[in-house]
Parts: sequence; structure tokens; C-alpha cells
Amino acid sequence: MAEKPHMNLVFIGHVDHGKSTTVGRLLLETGVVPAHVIEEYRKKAAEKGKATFEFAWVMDALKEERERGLTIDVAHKRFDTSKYYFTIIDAPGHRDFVKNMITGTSQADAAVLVVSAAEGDGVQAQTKEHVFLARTLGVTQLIVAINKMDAAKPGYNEKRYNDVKEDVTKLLKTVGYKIDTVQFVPISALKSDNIIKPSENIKWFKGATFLQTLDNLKVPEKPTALPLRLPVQDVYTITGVGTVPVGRVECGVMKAGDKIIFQPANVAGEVKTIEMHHEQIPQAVPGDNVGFNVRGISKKDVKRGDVVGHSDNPPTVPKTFTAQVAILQHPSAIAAGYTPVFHCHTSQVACIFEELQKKLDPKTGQVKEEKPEFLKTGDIAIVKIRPTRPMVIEKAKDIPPLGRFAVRDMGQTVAAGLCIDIEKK
Amino acid sequence: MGEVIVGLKVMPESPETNMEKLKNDIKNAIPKGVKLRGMSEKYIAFGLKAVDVTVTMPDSAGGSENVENALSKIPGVSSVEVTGTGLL
Ligand SMILES: Nc1nc2c(ncn2[C@@H]2O[C@H](COP(=O)(O)OP(=O)(O)OP(=O)(O)O)[C@@H](O)[C@H]2O)c(=O)[nH]1
Ligand SMILES: [Mg+2]
Repeated sequence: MAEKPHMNLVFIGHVDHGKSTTVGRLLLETGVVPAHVIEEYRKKAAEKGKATFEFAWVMDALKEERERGLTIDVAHKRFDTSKYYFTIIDAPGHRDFVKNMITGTSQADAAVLVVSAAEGDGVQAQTKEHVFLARTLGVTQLIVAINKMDAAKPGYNEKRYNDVKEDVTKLLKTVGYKIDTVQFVPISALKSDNIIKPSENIKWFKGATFLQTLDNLKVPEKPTALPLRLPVQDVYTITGVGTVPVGRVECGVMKAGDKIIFQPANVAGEVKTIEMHHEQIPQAVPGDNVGFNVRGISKKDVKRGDVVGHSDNPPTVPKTFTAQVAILQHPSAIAAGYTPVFHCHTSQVACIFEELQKKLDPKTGQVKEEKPEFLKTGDIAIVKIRPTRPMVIEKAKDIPPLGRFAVRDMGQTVAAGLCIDIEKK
Repeated sequence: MGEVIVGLKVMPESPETNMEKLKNDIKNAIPKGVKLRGMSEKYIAFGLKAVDVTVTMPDSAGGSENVENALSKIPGVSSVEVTGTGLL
């Protein structure tokens, strides 16, 4: 593979709005679907007496290919543009996978929000939810693919595109997206309009093709300039080595010789050596999964859920924090006093919804209700949270990877959110 | 709604943990409705190895917590982390 920059691209959107079809179309038109697969399916189509070659069969074929010899890497479909090498994550529909997207390690660099322009579609419940999640996941680069333009009434009409675009714009503003950085593009994934070449059917559109919008994305910067934050996954005592915490650098840089502190354990030490795979490395950067040997601490001093920072810029352990949350699913209503488990980096801590401050209107972003008495599924709200025991969380604006969390209760992912303010101890 | 693929990283309690036994225990601990798709050892640091586990389940199964819990309970397992999630 050439030295093109790599991008992780996540596809999100309401059920049936065409995420998988758009992914399949991209793979087909960028030449990723092997010719033999297409040929095989053409033959099958002919045998079955079907005259036309159905795109859906290509999708099936792709799935079958992936079913063989499967690893997580294979499931992340790859393709190239002239500028980038992309891997695609097609987001699961079920809400309980949200926790995986938030605490799991495969961070998306950009998202494609697929919104159907077919009659009766447009912005739907899951469109809202996914937009909020993308924001929560720290995805700042967004492409809005307004799909099924062929099925608009009348087909391919500009007004419908503009109407849907306006609705999505309102929604994006609610959660804080800067609209001038968001790319909008009308497509038909099924009929292949405006995917890799401009379409005769959408002559009124003077903007980029879908493929061009992908090339317009910016190379994600590694968050090396941020303060060091490394959530501890496990701690080992290794004979002949000493105490070895293991974890992934979320941001900042950790070098051998650095003076570090673990919070909330509040234990200080010095990094002796860092290893990744079989090698000793002088420094660990964001994304590196490392083990490091620490002078001055023992295995019982620190544990999973602690976060490593430099001694002169330690991780924050707030008394309370203010969060923006989206209630994804709750059987009844959430009132002040509710105490579910917050999953934030590698920590799991029960936290109290101490104060429900504001309910926001997902359509406009305006405050819909001050001091609401309860929150229900679908609500977006500003709440004050009090952890029941010390935990590290940061303002998402300052240190994004440590500012997001998933809320679990009764075996379900109840909510997802972002820390927007901190009350220091 | 289709099949969801989930990658998990299983960390042993110590570098001395018997990895063959651990892999066998993982195989036996996969809950009903979840398919084990692959397992491989991954070198972490200082002689420590993790087991990378790939599983699939229907989207409608609703989350991977049951797998995470089942693997966490295996003797000799220190932690289980989700490393990736996507639709097949
Ligand atoms: N007319 C028209 N139909 C489309 C287009 N794109 C997708 N479809 C159809 O819409 C239906 C849903 O498409 P999918 O790609 O499976 O949608 P999805 O968003 O992946 O759906 P889930 O994974 O179930 O959430 C299928 O019947 C597609 O053939 C389009 O551009 N035009
Ligand atoms: Mg799909």
C-alpha cells in the first residue's frame, strides 16, 4: 500500500436510509469488489432468468467474502481514493453497541451521515441520535449524504434536497457542529448518482461528488499537543522488571524518564522504560498500546481505571461535573437521584444525576425546559453529575478522548454524553 | 439489521498464565448466540501477551456485554476490552 494517509470513516444514519448501500456502492465504484465476484453474480442472475444485474447481489457477495476468514480488520472495509486510504465502519443499529463505540478503541476520524430524501423520510429519530453520538465520539469532520434522491417526489428535485439539508443543519447546530465545515452532498446510492461522477439527474448541484467530499477531508492530527492521558487497563508485577501498568495513550506523549502521576489513586512515579510489542521505545504517542515500568510504585497502588498524566498537569478528579447527555433508551423516566454506572475510558463508576438543569429541543438547540422534572428516551439535556467515588473525567472541549462516557443500567446503554464543565475538588 | 462483528482484547493475570489453556477456556465460555470467529495471541510488552478474540452476533442481540462478562469470569483473566465494533 502506498504511503497515503489513513482515515477511519464511520457510516451513521436512520434505519434503511441507505448506509450499507452507500458503502457497497463506494466499494464497487472504487474497484474494491473483485471482478470475479461481480462476474459470478452476473452468471447467477442469468441462470435465474433475471435480465438485470441487481446491485443487492453485490452486497450479498461482499458479505459472503467477509464471512470467510474473518477478523475485525476484514470487517472494516477498505478502499482508496487518490488522496487517502480509508477503512469503513458501518455502525450497528442497536443502541447497546453504543458503549462499544464510545469506549472501544477504533476512533473514527470522520463520519458520513446518510439521510434519505425519499418521500416521508428526512430527519428521523435515529438521525438525531447518531448525530449526537458522532459529536460525543469526538468526530468533528462530517459529510451529510442526502441519499435516495431518485425517490424524492418529484425525483431528483432541488427543493427536497434543500429542505432536508435545512432540517439536518438545524440538528447539527444543536449539538455544536460548525456548519461551514460540514459537507452536504445529494446522491442516489442505488442508481449511482453523484457518487464518483457528477450526475445528469442532479444538474442543479454544483458541489462535489461524494468521492470528492471524502478527498476534501483533512488529515486527522494526532493529539500529541494535548496533555498526557493514559487510562490504565491492567497492572502487572513482572519478575525482573517490576511494576508494569498497561494501557493505550489517548493523548499527549509519554517518555522514558517522565515524572508521572496516577489519578484518582494520587500516586506518583517515574517512567523507567516503555515497551510496545517486542521493542523498547523512547516515547509513546496517541494510539500506542504500551506497557511501561514505573519506579516508585507497587501493583497494589494503582489499578484499572486510573489515568496517567504528567505530575505538572495531572488528570482531573472533579467533585461534580456538568454533562450534555442524550437519553438513548430508558423504560420509564429519569429523575434527579438516578444513579447508573458511567463507563468513561477504562473506568466504571456509579454516578448520581444530581440536578436536571435544562432540556434541549433537538430540532432547534434551544432550551425547551428549565429544571425539567424528568428525562425520557429521546431527550437531550444538561445535567449535573456527582460520582459516588473519585474518577477522572475531563472537559471534552479540552481533552476530547477523556470527556465522553456511556451510561449503563439494567444491562442496557441508557445514555451517552459529554462532560462540558468541571467543579474542582 | 445484520451481523455485528466485535473485537475483544483479553488480558491474562500474569505473563506466566498458560495461554493455551486460556484460549481453550475462551472457546468454551462464548455464550449462546455468539459466534467465535478468530483468536490470536498478541504480544503486548515485557513478555506479556493478550488474546485477540473476534466474535459476531446479530445486531438484534443488543450489545456485547454478555460476551465481555463471560470472558471476564474465566479464571486467569485480568480484563476484557472491546477493541472494535462494526456491522458485517
Ligand atoms: N430508491 C432508492 N433506494 C435506496 C437507495 N439507497 C438504498 N436504497 C434502498 O433502501 C433500503 C435500505 O438500504 P440499506 O443500505 O440496507 O440501508 P441501511 O441504512 O444500511 O439500513 P440498516 O442497516 O438496516 O439501518 C434497501 O432496500 C435499498 O435498496 C437509493 O439511493 N435510492
Ligand atoms: Mg445496513
